[in-house]
Amino acid sequence: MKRWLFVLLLSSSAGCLWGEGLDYDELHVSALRADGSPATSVPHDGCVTLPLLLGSRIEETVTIASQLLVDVSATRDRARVRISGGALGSETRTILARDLRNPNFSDEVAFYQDGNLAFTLYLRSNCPSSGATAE
Amino acid sequence: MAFTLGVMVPFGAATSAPGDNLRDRYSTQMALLVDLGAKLGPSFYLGAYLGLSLGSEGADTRVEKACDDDGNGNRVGCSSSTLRAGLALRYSFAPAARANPWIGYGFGWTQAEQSIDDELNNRRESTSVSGLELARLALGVDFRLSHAFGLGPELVGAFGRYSSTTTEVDGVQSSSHDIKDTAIHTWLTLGLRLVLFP
Repeated sequence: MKRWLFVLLLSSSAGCLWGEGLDYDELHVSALRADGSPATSVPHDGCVTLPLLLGSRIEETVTIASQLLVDVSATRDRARVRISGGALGSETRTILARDLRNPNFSDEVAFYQDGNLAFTLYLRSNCPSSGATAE
Repeated sequence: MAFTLGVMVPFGAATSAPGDNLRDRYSTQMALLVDLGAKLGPSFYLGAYLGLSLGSEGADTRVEKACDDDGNGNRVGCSSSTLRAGLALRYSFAPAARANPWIGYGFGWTQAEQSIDDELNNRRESTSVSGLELARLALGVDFRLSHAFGLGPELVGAFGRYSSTTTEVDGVQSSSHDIKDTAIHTWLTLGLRLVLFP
């Protein structure tokens, strides 16, 4: 019992000593194929972290299954997303950073080829692997 | 040759985007400026200047909150700095007197950078802006201490316009572009100037 109390005390002290780190707004870009299987998103598994500083801008291109290019241009206040896929067409979205602080935020875009659904692309808040929390 | 040590305060806007005030990006900074040049006669001086200033984060609430450790020891480092270089012309009203008032004009290049280093998340973000220092208006008085040294106060208003910006994350360039919505900013410096061979 004493040992557990000691561990508990130590871990809570470590939290105070080392802090919690900063919270970042994140945009997660992912896609499902028509058959429901996930398509690969590179780089960073489709995770784009928005900047913190006033005046910063991050520009990243996420590639989905080598077929869709997702160009993200993000300031700390908003992310402009341009999705282009050749014959699959193109779409543009603007997502506010404050919407990304809602853990349930999700937007989706369907891409068709020859009249058939090819991909459903999802723009969501928070990246699955980061464990980041909304501010 | 002269050395100025002073305090530099930001005014105006970094860009004309809403809320993008210079003081929100950069704090008041400690400034060191070196002048090197030659007299073109008893009253006129022409030379080059080079300056470096260091400070912390600006007054932007979100960044200030991220940088402030509140005594909890958060491992976030925040800093800002500016660089400047250019040419300056100075006119002395009483070059042979013990107290010599003077005025000056200069122009050149300037850069300002802000950064935030989040050790826990192993993430470093920095953004720099650069552009022209269009008018560097200065006035001061040199008090001749000896044949070799002069010392006196200096007040400088540096008016400039940032025209390009670069963001880096973890040392990798994330974006670099021209600023479309430029604005005039001012750095006001109050300093003490040590002059060699006044």
